[in-house]
Amino acid sequence: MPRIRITPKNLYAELSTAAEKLNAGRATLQAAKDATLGSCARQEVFRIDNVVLYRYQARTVVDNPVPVLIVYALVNRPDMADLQHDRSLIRSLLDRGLDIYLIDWGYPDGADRRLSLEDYICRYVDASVDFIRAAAKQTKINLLGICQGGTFSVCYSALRPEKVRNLITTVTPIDFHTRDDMLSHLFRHVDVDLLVDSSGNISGDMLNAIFLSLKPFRLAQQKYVHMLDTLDDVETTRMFMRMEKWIFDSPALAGEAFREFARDFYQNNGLIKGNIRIGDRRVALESLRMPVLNIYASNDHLVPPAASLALGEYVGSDDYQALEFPGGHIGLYVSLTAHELLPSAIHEWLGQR
Amino acid sequence: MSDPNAWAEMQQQLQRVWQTLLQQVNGADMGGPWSQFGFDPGQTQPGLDAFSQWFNKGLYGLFGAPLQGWPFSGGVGSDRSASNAWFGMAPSEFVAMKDLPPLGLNRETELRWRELSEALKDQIDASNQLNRQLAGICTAALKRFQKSITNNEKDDIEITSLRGLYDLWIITAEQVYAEQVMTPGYSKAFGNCINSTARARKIWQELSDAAQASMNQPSRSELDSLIERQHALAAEVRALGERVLGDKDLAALHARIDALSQHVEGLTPAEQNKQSADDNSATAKKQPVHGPAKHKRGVAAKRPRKAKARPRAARSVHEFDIGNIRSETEPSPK
Repeated sequence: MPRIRITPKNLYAELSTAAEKLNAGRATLQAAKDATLGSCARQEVFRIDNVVLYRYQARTVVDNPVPVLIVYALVNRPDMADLQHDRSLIRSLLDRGLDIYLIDWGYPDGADRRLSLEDYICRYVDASVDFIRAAAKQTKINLLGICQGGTFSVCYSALRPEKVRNLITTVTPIDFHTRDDMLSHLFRHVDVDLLVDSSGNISGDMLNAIFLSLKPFRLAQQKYVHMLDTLDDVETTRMFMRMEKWIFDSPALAGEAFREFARDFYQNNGLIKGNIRIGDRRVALESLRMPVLNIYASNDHLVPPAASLALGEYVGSDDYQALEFPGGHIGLYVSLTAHELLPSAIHEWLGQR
Repeated sequence: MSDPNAWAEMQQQLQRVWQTLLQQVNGADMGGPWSQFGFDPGQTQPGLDAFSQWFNKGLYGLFGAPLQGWPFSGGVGSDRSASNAWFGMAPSEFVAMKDLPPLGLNRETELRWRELSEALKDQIDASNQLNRQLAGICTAALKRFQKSITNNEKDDIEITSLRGLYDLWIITAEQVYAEQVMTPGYSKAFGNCINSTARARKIWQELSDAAQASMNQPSRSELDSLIERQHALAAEVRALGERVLGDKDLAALHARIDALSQHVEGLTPAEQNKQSADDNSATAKKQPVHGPAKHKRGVAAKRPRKAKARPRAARSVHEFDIGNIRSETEPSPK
């Protein structure tokens, strides 16, 4: 029995359906082209250089007096945490009575190329934390880091443990040399200094090209072929367009910060070796003595589970918990399943501490 | 094509996959449902051409497009061996010049141009090497795909649509790609491609800067220098601000204010009036005055009176009067 049974009749039906979808697609894409990101009201409360701290408007009675500061990655925009009303981590956390702040790093330009990790972690994060501590009249606040922002949160918490009550990391790389880390493998032989010296800031397009090259057949081809299936559905296409906007609305990375992160974290795997220095201080993971919740995605192709799970081996905290969620790096925030599970897990964990 | 052999091998493999596909959908004897449409082993070229064209375009989109944003980059299918897009000059022409030593006024500039030509040649080599790797990955993926659609008896999964077939191809290709990319050879080729591109860009920027400077135009290196200085200056100002108004300083300042307040509250009304009169008198003599602390200690009186008034901004840092806290920042009179 042949395994492939594509008959002329089947193929004709398939192509006819595809043609119909394509026909409808024109109107659908027109209707979906203005899809905007973000579903929650927020207010700028603090600004330092190009970095803005937002506070999200409460959607219910705040039941936890300790605010949560979301620290996003420098790559892409933080809109992914509030993509649309039914796929919004922030909205769900607000609905559960948490007080949410978020740092928006902005779009670094040529004048920002000298910004280092010390600037980002010891100035921008620290100033934001201090602002929130003062505003909320709390000595410590909760940090929630996403991806690279999780690594930043880990570093910050290790340097300033007296200001962090609970640390939550999501899809956060800690061990950058795990066997299945394709991104790290690709960067192994790149001369980072030469790259930064010749490029200044590292463009978002270049970073996106590298991210797409991790799964080129799937991310640069198949997903657009599959898009055909929903081309007659405005709402689904609108979400697709929001994801497209989020993926490709990609700020450049400040050259110096990129240099330090790519060289010291990715190439030298300095975080678990204990030789990362931010400014004049060493980042010691054993200094993380506050409660730590480490959330990772089971099918993460960017930050493999092992890269995140390494945190548990090095933290000094007795209250450490790792939580696995089904899905990939992005799916953790935008899939329906994760959307139901993730905010509850965070809210519950914080509520117990 | 950057490496005719590598890509020719891939095309041959593509042809074999096409033949296998036709046999699979039409039966081994090709007498199945598709024979009425003229498909048989001897007349597959039109379909293959279309398939091949689509496949190659797809590959270009995958591997070629992301690199196009980079100057000096090639991408899948681009021919970088004969010329480069920037100068329209064969690298061999650049390379041939290197045997002749440059002389005279333009000697150093000439050497830089030769460096660029060497860097461009390296970039082309590295780009070709990466392209060869990618072609090899595609060939290996096609082989595995062919195998997966041939050995169908063992598998009970049935593919009844073009989409199903396409998805199977994607899964197979991603598997092979992931395996190959994780080899040291690919990582090295990828790194070489990025590094050689960056090196060529850097030399090009330096030459471009020299040309800008000769026309009295701002250059990249000047901008970088200004950014560097501005960044250092901002850090210095922040550090100074932290020293002047740091937590410890502020706490000491608050303590001193509290002590002074208590002292003033303890004075009789007559003493308060006398104190106020003394303060006003001191204020009139010393301009500007920001607080009472130094008058009591006489610091202001020790300051050289003959010093000419300096610009306000220049004074503000050193003469920020917060009692004894910043006394060590007093500028030495010049």
